[in-house]
Amino acid sequence: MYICCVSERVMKRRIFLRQTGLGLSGLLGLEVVFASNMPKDYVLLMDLQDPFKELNKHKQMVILNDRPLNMEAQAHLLNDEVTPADKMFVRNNGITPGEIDPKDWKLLIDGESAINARSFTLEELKTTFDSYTYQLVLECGGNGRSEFNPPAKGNQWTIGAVSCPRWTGVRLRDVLERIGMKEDAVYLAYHSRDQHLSGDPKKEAISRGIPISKAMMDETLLAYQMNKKDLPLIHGQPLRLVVGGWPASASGKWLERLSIRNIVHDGAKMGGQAYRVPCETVAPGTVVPDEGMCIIESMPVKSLLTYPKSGALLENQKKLEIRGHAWAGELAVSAVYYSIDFGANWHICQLSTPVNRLAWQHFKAEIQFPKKGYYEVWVRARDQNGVDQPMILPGWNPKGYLNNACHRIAVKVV
Amino acid sequence: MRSGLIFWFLLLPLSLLLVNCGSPKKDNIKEDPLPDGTMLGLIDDTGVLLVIQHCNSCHSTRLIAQNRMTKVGWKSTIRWMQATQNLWNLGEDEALILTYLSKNYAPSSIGRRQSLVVEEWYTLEKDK
Repeated sequence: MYICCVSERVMKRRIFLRQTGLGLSGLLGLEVVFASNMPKDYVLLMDLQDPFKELNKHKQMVILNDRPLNMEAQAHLLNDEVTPADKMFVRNNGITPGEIDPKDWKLLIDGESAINARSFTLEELKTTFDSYTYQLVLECGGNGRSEFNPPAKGNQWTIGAVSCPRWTGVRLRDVLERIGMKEDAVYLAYHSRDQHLSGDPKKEAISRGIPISKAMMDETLLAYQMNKKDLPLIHGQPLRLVVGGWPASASGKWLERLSIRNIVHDGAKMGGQAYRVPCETVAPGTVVPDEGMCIIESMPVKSLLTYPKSGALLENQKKLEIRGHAWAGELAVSAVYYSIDFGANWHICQLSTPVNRLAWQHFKAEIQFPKKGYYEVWVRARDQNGVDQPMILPGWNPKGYLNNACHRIAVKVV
Repeated sequence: MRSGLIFWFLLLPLSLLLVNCGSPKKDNIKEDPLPDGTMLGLIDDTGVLLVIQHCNSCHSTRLIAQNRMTKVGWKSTIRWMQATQNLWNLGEDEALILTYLSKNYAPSSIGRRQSLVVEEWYTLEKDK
């Protein structure tokens, strides 16, 4: 069925076309089933000579998967208070689309519960509605999956699928109020320009959404800028959703269409086991039927030590300043503690207030080590409801979501 | 030049009638090379070419190499891809593929929390 017969001549022709600089990635994508349906400007990572350079990513970002592209940061790369674009993780579900001219782009807003369905150009969105800028945490629901035992299927994220850039755009609520929503509206769904991995044009790579209550929050943005610059292609050019504090899969990229639904959205990766955890906790390794899985909403409290990088040798010094960030999904963080004795004793860190709701907060502390030796610095955040991060992997779930176990770094005083 | 281009655009769908998917090709990521001695990053063992032929047309072999599952787990993943992701019937190859995956990419018990691994110890400057 898959039998292949790309002749040497075709291969040579492909290479020739590539060398002539015609940029025909689509032609080069013969490996992709339904490649003939693929628009010619679609970007396949395997066609990039140097993905870090071409995607403007820091050299120390870690590629987990190149088709679809999945790339995470390392803890020490995330030390900035505002995450720069080159250190933000990438989680793609499908094939990255090509860049488009915003003048050729429109956002359609429709759905069973839309009163006045219509489209907006980017210019119309910018001129019709006020713009807002918020720093918002986006964290992949599967961040920390690599610690699951038994292992969970999917990209094996460690700790780096989180970031908190500054996003600028219009409020989704302002747009939805302009469209008007019927009383039966329950969910806001997105549809995007990225293509399914199989190349099948009838399939969407991902089409998720959020309840109307979350869509109507002030901080839920249709963003066209990241850190004061137009959205980079890999992060959703020209317009994306930013749904702070929720699994980042809710923050659809490359938007083409939003639908105001009268049901919980049933698009790709809304159902089955995707972005869901067991409604009732289960023992590790349990097979849970789809109907026993519930959609993840707010992410849990979590923190990350971003300075120093793990593996620090302290020579002739016993003092160490630690720094990092803490966040708590829909909530604020009320305290962060550190321990240098594997959790036996905890000491409070200085903690900043968030620059706005749903932004991460920064902590720091100065540690005095009692004597030479190997230490682990552990940090633990507490949310505004008094709920702490666990020390070890919490509630095992089949797909490996929501691991908010405390972060640790290794330090030697020598 | 343009007429040549059109010719190839016409030829492409024709060639696709013959090939549902093409030969896997080594990707060009220079900065993050695939490990030596592997087949596109996969352990070189009986069945690896079947895995590449059936799987690498839709997703990278890196996705396989980072996962660990039992035979039952790999089989259910294949069934999920067949039900939702356009994966075809693997026919007689399925048994060989399952054997390859469950042998080379089996789960090992890692416990609830592993020891920290430090890639390289470094001297921390006093003044940051």
